[in-house]
Amino acid sequence: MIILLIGKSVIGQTIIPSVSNLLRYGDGERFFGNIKLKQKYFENLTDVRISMLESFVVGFRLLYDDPPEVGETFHGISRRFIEYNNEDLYLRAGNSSALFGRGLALNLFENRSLAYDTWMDGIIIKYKSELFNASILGGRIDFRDSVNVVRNEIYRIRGGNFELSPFNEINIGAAYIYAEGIIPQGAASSGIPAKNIKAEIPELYLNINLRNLSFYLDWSRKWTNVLNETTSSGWGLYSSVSYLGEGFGITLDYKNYSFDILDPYGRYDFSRATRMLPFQNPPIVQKEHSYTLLTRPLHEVNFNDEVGFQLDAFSSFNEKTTLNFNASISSIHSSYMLNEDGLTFSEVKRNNNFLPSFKKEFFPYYEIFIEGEHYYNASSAIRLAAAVREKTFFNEFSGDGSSTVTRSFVIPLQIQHLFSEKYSLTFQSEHEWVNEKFNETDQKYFNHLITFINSFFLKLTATIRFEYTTSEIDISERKNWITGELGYRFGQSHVITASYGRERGGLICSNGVCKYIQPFEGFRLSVLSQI
Amino acid sequence: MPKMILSKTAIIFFTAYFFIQAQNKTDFSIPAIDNKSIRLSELYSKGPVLVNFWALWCEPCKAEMKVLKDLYGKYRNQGFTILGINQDSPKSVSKVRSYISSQKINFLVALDPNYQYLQKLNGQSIPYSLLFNKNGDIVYKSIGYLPGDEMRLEEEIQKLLSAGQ
Repeated sequence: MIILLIGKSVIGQTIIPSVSNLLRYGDGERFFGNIKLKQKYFENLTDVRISMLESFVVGFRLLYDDPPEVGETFHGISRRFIEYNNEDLYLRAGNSSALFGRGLALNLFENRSLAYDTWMDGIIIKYKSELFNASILGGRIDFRDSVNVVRNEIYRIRGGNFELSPFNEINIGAAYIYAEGIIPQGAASSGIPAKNIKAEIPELYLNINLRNLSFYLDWSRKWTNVLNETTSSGWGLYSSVSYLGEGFGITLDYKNYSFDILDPYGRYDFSRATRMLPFQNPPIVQKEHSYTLLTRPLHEVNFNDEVGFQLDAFSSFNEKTTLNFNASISSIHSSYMLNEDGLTFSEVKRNNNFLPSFKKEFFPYYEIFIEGEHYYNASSAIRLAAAVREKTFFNEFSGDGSSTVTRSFVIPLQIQHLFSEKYSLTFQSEHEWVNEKFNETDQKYFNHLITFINSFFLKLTATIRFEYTTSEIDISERKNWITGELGYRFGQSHVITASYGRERGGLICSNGVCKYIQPFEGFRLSVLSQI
Repeated sequence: MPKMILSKTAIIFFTAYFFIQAQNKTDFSIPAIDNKSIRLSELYSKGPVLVNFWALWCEPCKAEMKVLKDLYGKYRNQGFTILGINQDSPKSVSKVRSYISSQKINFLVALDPNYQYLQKLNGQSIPYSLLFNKNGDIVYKSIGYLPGDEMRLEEEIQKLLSAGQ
């Protein structure tokens, strides 16, 4: 169809190419306890889009990952697509991302730093009018597990989305996804045969946007039929309410994800076929932080079994001063008691399991964050924040009610001052007190991070980062990490960055996808071009 | 093999650069935060437009939003417009309106939760800003934000306004 449309008028028309390129090189060592492993990586990614005849775009990604920093070795064209787009109609064949509603049924996206990619290779057709939007899609997802990159899950999906807007303020939507998948079991070398599944995921949502109030409600159900086994079903609910005032905004989010509630044996089997599927990615209902120590999460969102709230408020006292308050809490739905046989579990349901619980057997997590920001002139500001986080891990297997509670208190401070067009300085200090309590045993330590960013002539940046810990259990067996970084902007389209030093590893999460990054010591170079 | 890939990349860059010198027009429609649709060409036909990609989790983006708000206040009566395209994933989209309201940001804000429009303009990272003149040509770009970048941007806006662009 697209080829026919192109055929209508071809040569002599406007052709607009655009290219971006990211080159990354690293040479150093990774640490696994006292084991050092040499690591060298070379990655070059070129994204090309060629717009033609006003409505057509052809694009591809030329990728050279050999060896990659994370993920699998690849060289060649990793993506290609052709797209037709006019006022009402959008057609795309090839690789693409997609999103229905808030992602309870479908949210295809890529995060290269976490080696997570659920882009589809297939066809998308969308039609929009003033009254409604409709889309259908179908294709194949080749998903590499971000934790274990040799695990390869393959899905064939088909689906559609219909959104009705009877008024500008109201959207009512329905979506449906049908998927067939092959899911390897256990580790790649386990020898356990892969499971074939068929899954159906309908979704309904409502969005109301009034002048000062907005409301969103999204519900989704998932049936997974594992061939030659039983059918499992689960569901997810997400809702948010926002109220906007003069210089003020408050949002309350709610999640109730019950896509695959299982006892502790099933819960820790991350390759199970009945879990939430990788092309689903609902809201995490937790704050996404930008301060380094707060980006290291205490809690990984469990989309299969989690209920929780988040309250987020912004308020400006005047043009220069803003306050942000965020609080969130979550827990699992039911607790599990080890039976007398010492092997099996009984589920202990609670009546109000649509609300999170603070009791330790429900693995509660809570976080309170407050941040003040004051601009004392156009480009100079001071930010001060405080965050308290606490995660309880309950040991169901011991039967003695033991638990580990990790509590963290972080104070970040950032001062940014523009001295002149030739020089600006940003100073950042983050201090974290950590208390890990296992039954009656306490372990206390702190982490401290200091960053200086010097910017010269709006082109050159020189950054120094220093981190120190009193923890005795860091994987790299170090107490301090220091990195120096130089960045330079060539013209308007190119940025080159080189760094050398030691980087502390840790768990990194984005969009609810988490990956453990090992400590690194060595040289890194990146060149980014967007033309 | 790396040499071959790099030489292919260099050829692509050279060809793209050659074409971009000749032709630079971009247009698209994007859903605004209030569900209405915004067409880029309708904006730049009235005067210079700055398209700025930002997100709530990106501190430099929020610092830049502050100075963009001031620039918008200063030049909006002369035909200058800003289109802020938010890159928060679906998890944070509900907070975007609340942030905009608290900051009293009065320029246009649109949503791009799966980076479709960032990719359209070949962005790899944010903050990322592009300044369009009245003809739809990109006359200025900026990757990242450093305090003081707004001075250079303001010079470009003034140039366009004084040239009637």
